[in-house]
Amino acid sequence: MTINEYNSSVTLYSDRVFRFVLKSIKDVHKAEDIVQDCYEKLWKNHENVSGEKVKAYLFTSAYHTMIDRIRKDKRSVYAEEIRIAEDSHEKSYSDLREILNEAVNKLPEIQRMVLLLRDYEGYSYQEIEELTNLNESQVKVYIYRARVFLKNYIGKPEAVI
Amino acid sequence: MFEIEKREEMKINRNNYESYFIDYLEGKLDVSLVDDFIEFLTSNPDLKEELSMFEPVSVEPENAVFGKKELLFKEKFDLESEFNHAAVANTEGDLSDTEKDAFDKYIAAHPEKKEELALYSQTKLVPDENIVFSKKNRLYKKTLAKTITLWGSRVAAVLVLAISVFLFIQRNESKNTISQEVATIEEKQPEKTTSILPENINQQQNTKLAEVKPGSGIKAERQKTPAKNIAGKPTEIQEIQNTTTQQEIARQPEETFAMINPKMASVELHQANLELETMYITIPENPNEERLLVDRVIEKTGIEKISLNKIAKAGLNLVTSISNEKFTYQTDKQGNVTEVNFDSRLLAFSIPTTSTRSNEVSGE
Repeated sequence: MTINEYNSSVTLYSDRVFRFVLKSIKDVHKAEDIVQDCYEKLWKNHENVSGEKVKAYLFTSAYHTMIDRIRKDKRSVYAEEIRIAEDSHEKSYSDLREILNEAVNKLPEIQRMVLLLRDYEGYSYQEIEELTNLNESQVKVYIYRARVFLKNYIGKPEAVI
Repeated sequence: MFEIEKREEMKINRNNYESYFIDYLEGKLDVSLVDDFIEFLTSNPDLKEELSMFEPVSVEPENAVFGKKELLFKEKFDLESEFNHAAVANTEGDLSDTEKDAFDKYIAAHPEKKEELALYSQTKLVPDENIVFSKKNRLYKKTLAKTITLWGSRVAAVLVLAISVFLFIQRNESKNTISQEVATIEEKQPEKTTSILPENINQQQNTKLAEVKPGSGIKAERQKTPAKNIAGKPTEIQEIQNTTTQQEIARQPEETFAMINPKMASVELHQANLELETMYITIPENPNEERLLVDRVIEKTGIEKISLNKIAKAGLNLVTSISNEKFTYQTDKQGNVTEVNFDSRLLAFSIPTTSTRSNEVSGE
């Protein structure tokens, strides 16, 4: 991978990786850090990564970095308090998109990440399997559960706790 | 068994005979009880008559049919789990052709499910294009050539700034010096007018006609004032009257034009008799190949890519990197700088540039 290919990957994919990470972890500063970490890793390994696989490399790296951070954060009480504070802002939206956004935020992290990979980037089950190291049936189950949850939420948000 | 044992204990009598009657009519009366039952009937002829009244009573089954069976039939997709699976698979595009047909038929037959299916299609997440990663500049790696051009642009930006500051200062200084220079010119002018001889004046005017400038008229006017001053002195009045050339000095521009016009009219044209030669113009076969050297130089050096906007951006990038990205700027789709931001722990502000303001105003 050349410098030009690396730089074009910044232009092409940094926004998309950022959206994926930001939507997954809902923290701008952490999301920015993760995107920078991913590109640092890419640059360190740029000689081993071909231009065709840059996007997959970045998303794989982002996914696993997030999983690590989420595990660390879950050990922290402070992080839990933030989550509760964020959740307390619910029920102030009326627009469908915002209700859907709220519903997405309530999904378990892995379901949300898998769904984002599917919807935002249009990855197939097999590609998501490779990115996340989950098996295909797990990927399908996560997507299925996430869709049913979202459908129920936007259908009658007050009924879903 | 329990009943039989009970009945064995409790023989048929007028209080419990109904159950014996029903068993008898349905043919379920136990064989062991038949003798007692007959004995009871013979001893109670009124009840025997009552039993005979029951015998012909029988209900014929009607051929009535429940016509809404289809409402009760259950299909595969009536199971919530099956419907959800199919709806999700439909949203994901995972249904095979046959499954898709079956599911579409089911939806067509159950309009109430359409809304539910529509909700599934609304669960498709769409990325917000407005969310962008603002720190791309930190990620880009620069090649040697780019580094040189970057620093070149930065130096250019600094030079442009320095030159503009220098010119500004210079301009302020020159305003002060100009007023002094004017004063010195006024003092020297009388000397010049007295030293110019009338004969020389005509020659000079003829030769330097092409050099006559708008300012020369002012000089002529300025020369009038010393003449008036001279006329004010009685000793010099005669000299001035004798030499009419002094008056010519005061009227320089008008007289010189009057002398030249006749000369210009006397020019003879000899070329009119010459035969015109045929002129050939060669048109290149491919006009695109005819390019000026300047264009090629511009293309090779990439000078055309350098613009004031790029130089300005290079300067802003330099400030950004020096300030450890506390100072940043935003650009629009055309690459024009729209906003300048400063964000530190103590102070943060954002200044929209004038162009965006005008755009906003025009947009409103």
